[in-house]
Amino acid sequence: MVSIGIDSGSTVTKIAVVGNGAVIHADSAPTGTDPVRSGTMLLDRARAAVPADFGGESKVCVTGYGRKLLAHLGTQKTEISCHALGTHALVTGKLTTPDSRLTTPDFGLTPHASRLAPGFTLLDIGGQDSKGIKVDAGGHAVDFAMNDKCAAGTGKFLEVISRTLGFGIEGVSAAALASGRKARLSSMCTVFADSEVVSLTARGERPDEIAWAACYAVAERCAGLVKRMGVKGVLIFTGGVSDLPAVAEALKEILQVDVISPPLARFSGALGAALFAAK
Amino acid sequence: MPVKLQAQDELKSLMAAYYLEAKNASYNGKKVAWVSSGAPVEFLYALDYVPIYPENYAAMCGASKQSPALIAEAEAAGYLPDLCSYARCDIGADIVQGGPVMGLPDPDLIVAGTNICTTIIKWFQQVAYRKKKPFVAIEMPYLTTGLGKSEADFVVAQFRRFRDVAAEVAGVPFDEDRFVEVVKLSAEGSRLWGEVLDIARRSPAPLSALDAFIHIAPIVTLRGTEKPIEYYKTLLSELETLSRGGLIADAQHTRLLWDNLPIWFRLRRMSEFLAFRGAIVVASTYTNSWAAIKEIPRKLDDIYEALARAYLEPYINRNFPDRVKILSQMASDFSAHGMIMHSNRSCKPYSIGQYMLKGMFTKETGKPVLILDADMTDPRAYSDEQAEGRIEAFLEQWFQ
Amino acid sequence: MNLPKVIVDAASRPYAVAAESRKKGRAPIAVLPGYFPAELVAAAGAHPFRVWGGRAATVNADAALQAYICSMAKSVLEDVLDGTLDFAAGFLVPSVCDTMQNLSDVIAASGRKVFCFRFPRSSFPDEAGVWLRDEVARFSRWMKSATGREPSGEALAYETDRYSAVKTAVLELYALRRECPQAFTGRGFYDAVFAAQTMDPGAFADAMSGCAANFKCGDAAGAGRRVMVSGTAPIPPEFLDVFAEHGLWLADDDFMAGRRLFSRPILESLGPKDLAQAFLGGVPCPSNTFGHDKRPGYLADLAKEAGAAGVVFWQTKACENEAFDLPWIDAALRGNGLKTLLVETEQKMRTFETAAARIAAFAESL
Repeated sequence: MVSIGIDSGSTVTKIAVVGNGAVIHADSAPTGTDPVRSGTMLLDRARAAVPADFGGESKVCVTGYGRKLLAHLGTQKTEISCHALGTHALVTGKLTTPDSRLTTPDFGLTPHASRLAPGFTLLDIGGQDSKGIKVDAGGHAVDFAMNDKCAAGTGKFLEVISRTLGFGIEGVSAAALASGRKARLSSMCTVFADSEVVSLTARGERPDEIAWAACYAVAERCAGLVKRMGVKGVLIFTGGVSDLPAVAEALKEILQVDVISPPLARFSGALGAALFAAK
Repeated sequence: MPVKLQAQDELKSLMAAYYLEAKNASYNGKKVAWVSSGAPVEFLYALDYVPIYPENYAAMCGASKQSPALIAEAEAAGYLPDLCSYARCDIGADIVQGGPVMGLPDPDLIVAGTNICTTIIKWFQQVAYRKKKPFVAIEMPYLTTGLGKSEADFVVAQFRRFRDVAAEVAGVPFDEDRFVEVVKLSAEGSRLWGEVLDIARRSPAPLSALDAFIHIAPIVTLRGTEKPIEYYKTLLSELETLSRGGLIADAQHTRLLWDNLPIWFRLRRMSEFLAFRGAIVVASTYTNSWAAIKEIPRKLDDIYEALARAYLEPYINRNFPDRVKILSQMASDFSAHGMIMHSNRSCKPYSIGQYMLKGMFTKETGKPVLILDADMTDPRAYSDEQAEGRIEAFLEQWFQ
Repeated sequence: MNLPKVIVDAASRPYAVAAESRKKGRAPIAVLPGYFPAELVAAAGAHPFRVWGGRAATVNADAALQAYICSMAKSVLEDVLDGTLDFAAGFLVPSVCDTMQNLSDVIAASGRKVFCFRFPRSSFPDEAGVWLRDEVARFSRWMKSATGREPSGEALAYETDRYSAVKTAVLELYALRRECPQAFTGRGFYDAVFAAQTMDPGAFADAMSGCAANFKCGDAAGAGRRVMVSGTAPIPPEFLDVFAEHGLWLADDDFMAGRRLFSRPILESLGPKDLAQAFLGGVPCPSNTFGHDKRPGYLADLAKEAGAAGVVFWQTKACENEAFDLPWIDAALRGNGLKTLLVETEQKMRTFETAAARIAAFAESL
């Protein structure tokens, strides 16, 4: 028997399958315009991928923006609770990841584990929103803060800027890290920042410097959410944007803490949902 | 689902009659005053004015979902989107004579108190300039260190001056006996409103505080007349019947406080959303702000002072430690499990410091708080998906 | 115009200069945006210095205040929360708006010593005068608890003279600029205006003495059009240079941190009449109910006296007091034949391309 979590995000749908205390499958696909289609497709793929010795049965829990559209697949939980539980399981080693393709073996959590013992603060930056969550020792979300309606401080912001710069989203991070890391954007509004990028480019500012400024702007905006939750020593960083090391670097600089992303950090919502499904 | 109260129909006709009278005021030879919700309207009723509450009208525009178009008119006229959406909504309604009653009748006098905000002073200053009518601003000092004699004296002194200006504009002498009668009616109306709110202390609560936002209209607009007294008596007896008869079907697992104004254009949806998840808002800092004078003193001077003190004490005119005391007391009186703080783009005195207040409240009571980003009348600062997702996540902590 | 080195120095490191007052036995008191007579603080043997923000990054304030709150409030709060202003013996907050009023409690909640001065927004100056007397008495007690000393009448007389000299020096500078705006860079001028709000008044007046006598207008480099600016404070100052780049000369201002502040009558005694005069008098301001309805006429006259063809509204984002006045003041000024331009600014602005484009277009329209 396995439990399956589906995190139907605004940009990407993630799925995770957990069995016997281990992650046995993780997969993702663009959500597109039809969250039901992408969710169902991933579920079919997951069921096909689970080895027969886990038994045919499975429980499903859905989370994320599209969870209501996928409600027929199983139970529902909000992404706040799922991210808290999933990330907690990852950083405390409650979930093992036997498949080396899914994880980096020497992830190096051990030195931080003691600092995380009573709970931790996590920052999740996704496509449409960003959230700071205070997680207790049991993996429960005890408090959270999220961005307001505008898209500043989210993956969407970087997506818009990267398009203007002509980079792919990953390219933004690589370019930013290679820059002098000095430039700053003044506007926090996605629309204004975008036109600012245009004028900076026109002024001859180097694209890699602007890329750093954009990553820094996202980190700066999200740092407020983290500070509201309080953070000591280590910040756990998850969500799609955690794949961009430049944002993590900027967070380190602003908050003066270690910033670590567990393996499968983008899947923490789906993993949390899978753990809820098992409950 | 929350029960639909029969009193609600009465409320509709009450408010319709009020606005009808207002629209016909000059025809009937009555003076019209535009007043802030925290202005001492008792003086105006004593002088037979028809007081009009632009804040209430903006709320009506919001609840009837007419605010976006009106707000757009104000913005087109140069009012920046950062300004209070009540103000933008009313300014827009005045420009196009729009909203549920097609604009408000022009004022003869404009009055505002700072006990609710400074914004109202700025807002009414431009009204006075455009309408070329006298404007009275009454400073009701923020209670940084509590309510002392000098705060009360200052407000009393301004009340006297305001009374004289109002009498002069009305062209009639001020009748002190009539004034005392009005104050008595005002106090009785407020007392009954307090009883309506207190009924939600019961479990299950027969009235959600989100629904109370609808029933607040009479105590705001008709305070000082018989009408709120009659209305709240009817409402109370209906609520009693519901409560005693065990007619409240909704499960109420999670009892919440609400801070700040409501999200007028989502009031019903929010109420149902919570009810569907076994939650109810049992009290709010806003609805509880109209519980005024408790006892009427004998001497006239003392009445002035009692009135001044009552007007100085709304929740948002209190310092943070006092606000936390009020919130904690409310949480205990209403057996609340937690609180939703509406971070309201439009209302700075309510919203600035909510992150601090949240921490102070949780430290004091151990109860969790959700900060919800929205606006009282501007739907552009609101997203259903986002807000409801956050409320759901907040509620999940009681079911983990 | 070349300013004395000590002025430029004070403008470049205002807090360090303010902190030096301790060496002279004067406790530094940070005065947040709003009206409060500096001489009254000084009359308690303390050193008042003005804080108008100007921070580019406000991570701590962003955690304490929502995204939609005034950028000046955030910037000022950042200086408080990150400890930059911890050298101050206390924080004085004149409550001229909802934001500053609540900010006083936010600062108090951070454990710092703060006094919220409840600036009266009333239609009745006599009653307000009595209130001011009571409020000043409370302020005096607070000063005693913060610094060990209260303002005295004798000390006030001495400070009245010192701050009158500062006011005279600053207004003289305004007169010179009006005569010869091309001789001033935006930054240079406001360096002096800000230094006047930070330095010891005696040192400021000494440094400025003789400046006017030695001033030479010189020939204008190219033709420029005179304009006036209105708003809370000329922050960020880099932005001011944009005017000159487009051939516009700043001939005068209506900044709260500028002409409005220095047009205020100096406090001469602690009687209700003088208090009302010092707190509520002065030129019309969006943050003061008294004389507010005279604002359109006042601004039109000021622009005329400065020979300005246009008025630029320098709107600090989310400042309600200023924003509410914009539409009707704007209409009144246009009715007086003046061209107007609205520029929304944020204190943390670092690039000005969008605003500069608007200023360029405005310059062309003149």
